[in-house]
Amino acid sequence: MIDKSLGLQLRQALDLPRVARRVGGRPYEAANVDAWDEVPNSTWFTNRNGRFPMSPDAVHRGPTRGAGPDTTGPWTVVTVKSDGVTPGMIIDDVQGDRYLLKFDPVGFSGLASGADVVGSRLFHAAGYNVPENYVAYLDPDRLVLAEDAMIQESTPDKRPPMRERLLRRQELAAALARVNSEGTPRVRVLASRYLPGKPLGPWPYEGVRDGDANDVYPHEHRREIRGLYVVASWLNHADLKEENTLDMYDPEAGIVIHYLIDFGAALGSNSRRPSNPRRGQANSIDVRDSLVRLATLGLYVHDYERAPCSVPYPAVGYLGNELFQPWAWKPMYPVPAFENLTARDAFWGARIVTSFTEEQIGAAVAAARFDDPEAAAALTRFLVERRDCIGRYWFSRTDPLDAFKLEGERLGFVDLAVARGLAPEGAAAYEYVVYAPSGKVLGRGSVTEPELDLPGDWRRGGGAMVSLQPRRSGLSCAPVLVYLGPGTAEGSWEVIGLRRLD
Amino acid sequence: MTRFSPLAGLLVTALLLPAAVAGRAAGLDPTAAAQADSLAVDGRPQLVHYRSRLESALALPGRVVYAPLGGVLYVLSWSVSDLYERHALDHMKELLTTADGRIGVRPLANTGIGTGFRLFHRDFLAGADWDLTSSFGRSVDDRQHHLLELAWHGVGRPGRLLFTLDFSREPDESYYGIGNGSLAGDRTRFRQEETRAQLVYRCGTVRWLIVTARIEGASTSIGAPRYGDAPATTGVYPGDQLLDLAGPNRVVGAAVALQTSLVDVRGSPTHGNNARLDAGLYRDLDGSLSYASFNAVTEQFFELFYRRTASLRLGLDWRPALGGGEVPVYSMASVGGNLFVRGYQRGRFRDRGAAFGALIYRFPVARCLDGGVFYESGRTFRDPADLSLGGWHDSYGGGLRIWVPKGLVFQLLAALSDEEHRILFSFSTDF
Repeated sequence: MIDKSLGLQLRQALDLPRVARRVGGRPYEAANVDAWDEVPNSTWFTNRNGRFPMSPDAVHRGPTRGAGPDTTGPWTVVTVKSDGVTPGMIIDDVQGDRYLLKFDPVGFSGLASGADVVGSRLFHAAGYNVPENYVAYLDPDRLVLAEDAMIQESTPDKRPPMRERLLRRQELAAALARVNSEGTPRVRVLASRYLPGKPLGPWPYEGVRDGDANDVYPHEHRREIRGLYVVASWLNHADLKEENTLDMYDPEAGIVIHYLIDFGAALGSNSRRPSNPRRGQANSIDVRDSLVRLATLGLYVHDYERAPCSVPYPAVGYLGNELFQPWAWKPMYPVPAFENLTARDAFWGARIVTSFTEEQIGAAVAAARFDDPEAAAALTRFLVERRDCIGRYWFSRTDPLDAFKLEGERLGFVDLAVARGLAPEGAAAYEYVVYAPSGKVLGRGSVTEPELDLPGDWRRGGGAMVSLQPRRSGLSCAPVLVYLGPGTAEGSWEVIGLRRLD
Repeated sequence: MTRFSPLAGLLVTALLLPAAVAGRAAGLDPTAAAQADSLAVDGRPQLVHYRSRLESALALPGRVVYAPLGGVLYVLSWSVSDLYERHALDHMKELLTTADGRIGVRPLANTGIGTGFRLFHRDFLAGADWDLTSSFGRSVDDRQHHLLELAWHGVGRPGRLLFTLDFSREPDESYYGIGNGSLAGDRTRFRQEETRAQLVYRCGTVRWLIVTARIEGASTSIGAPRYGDAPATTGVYPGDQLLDLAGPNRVVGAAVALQTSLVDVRGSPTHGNNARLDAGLYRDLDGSLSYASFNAVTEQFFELFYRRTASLRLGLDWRPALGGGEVPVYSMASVGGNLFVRGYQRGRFRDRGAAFGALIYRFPVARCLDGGVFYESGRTFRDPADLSLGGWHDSYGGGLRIWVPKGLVFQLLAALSDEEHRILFSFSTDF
């Protein structure tokens, strides 16, 4: 925490070339993007809803391959984590599948489990690797103790457990009694299926993983991690410390797969209690805010200190969007990749976030199986409002034109701001200039529809570059450059690259 | 105001300009320079360098400057990680405790006295516990403090009966002259040894109220300090105030105390009140010392806005002599020290009575870290009729405090007065 909060910021402040680039408006761009400014599929990320719209059923299902722990037989308890507050459990079902069970805080049924499930569905649909998370119902009578079942003795804070020793039956009963004081026959839990492979530990947030020959891009300069800032801000997943990531080694394929885990403190949840207005507004140790308070003797009051914290639906926690500013969202601990975010990275993330329809968001929320439909509706509204806020901001900072397609002499494109309902249709003019490879201007003009006819002689120089820039009230952005050239098939021509300018 | 040095400006520009130029050149095609360094070797991809060799070289000075800072942060992180996340202190406690947790020893370090240890044995007899705390200075002639406590729980249901036997030796105890007008130069040193036995009954009937009743006997002797001659006291202490210095004084007494805590968060209150009342009677077995003791301290908290809190702290301590007796100089009320009117040394003003008030403003800096500023004033008096608006001694300052919901963990303060500037730190005080 000390290194994340202080060391990183000191290192960045003393990195002269980095400082000079940011001052000069030329920050380091992401190192692993292709000619279309896209991220190829990899062990880090798979292009899903942002590029290929998923059905609501697919979003609802997420990465899950079944229905969760098999309830036709007993659940064998392997380990119990006991910190005196809320226990956790590792069980094997009759199929031999291992699950980590986590309980909701008392009085807030659905809070952490719901956040974990909804978060996992949306991160998965966004393209990230996540575990299979299920909402399940534990029947205490179904639990049996493994012969070598262990208990992890922890303290009532977030420190690693002190030790492990053999679990006694009465300790299991006591742990269950803490989360089921009323003795209900079914206790709601989050069941997270163990990831396949051998765990290697969290991703390092800086540099690469030693020993992974495929890990060649420094993580702080990977587009999918930088762009994670926007997706995480959407879901208010501020608990993005390294320990909430996991590398798993697949011995058959001989590769390391990189996962995001533990979303119990996302959305309106803070794991053990509802979230609060400060979440997403300040780091856990926010040096700048602390210095401001110290220098002003506390007379300066930040907005998040003033904001009321109302929780009308305990199952979904605190859902406040009044303070949300997409450009100013802060995780609990500074993340090196987020500190390197550029407008292109943010556009990439915003395109993913705004690709989600209300129906898809509702399908992800439905996976959490909230008992209160009003709570589910409130969470859906929260996510929709936040999505639109993100889209309006980032699509006004970078050229929102995308999905370029060459058909004959006509170049078509999509204005994402219009397509996603964030800007009025027909209110923009798209100014274009067509250049030959020599730099000669072949044509220029303005269109009101998202398509333009290229000048007849554009192929003569072996290709062309088209500069496209929308003009619309409230939009201030540099143009996007679209490169046209010979395609892979004989005699074909296609879009061969693009570049978004700052 | 700091003036910008042209030389410094030239140096900064000389360092940054090439980086800016390199940045601009590389920015035209950011991946080309990087990928030029990432040629596959034997078909295996090589690490991609996201910046050119020139930029890497220009980053070197910053890394050199960061190295010692990074080393400190690394050691700090590692220490915190070891102590906190790996439960080093918890494991050490377990090593020093029997498996059932009933018997153990703990090391102690106290800047006031020295180092020492605490032995304890829970439930050793009929549900009683005992604790022996000993602190030593550098030698047996140096400071010592030994406290033996026997405690029986559940007496009178929510109550606890305590027997304590306490021995302390202070080879160089400082005393200033008696009276509100005593001068800073009126300072003497005594060697003081005290043995005290107390029987205390403590009862918390409700969570916010603790009632304590105690009877005690103490034997105190004052003599020449460790270094130097016998104290020259006549110039400082009039003869009739030195009844206690002729030989060991054996005093018995009885007292009752009430302590209330009606605050929202003990570690950083924003609403409510803490208060303590104590009243007792004391008498020398020889009959020459006889006095009463009344002590009242209260602190009221007011939230101004968003956890910015003002508190008013008032205290009165009065030890009237009874039946022609006198109050021992070492038992007199005083202002100065770590709790009240902190800009002065402990016991700076001493008499039969003392009064003080403090206004404190506290504000949050970070999670569990508060800042605060205070103004306080106090004086001593021989008789309550002597109290007036004049003669008060002022002190002011500020500092930081670390807290947890159960109480204060640590505070570091700077306190100023017209005599001196003091830096204080303290742990776990109620006030």
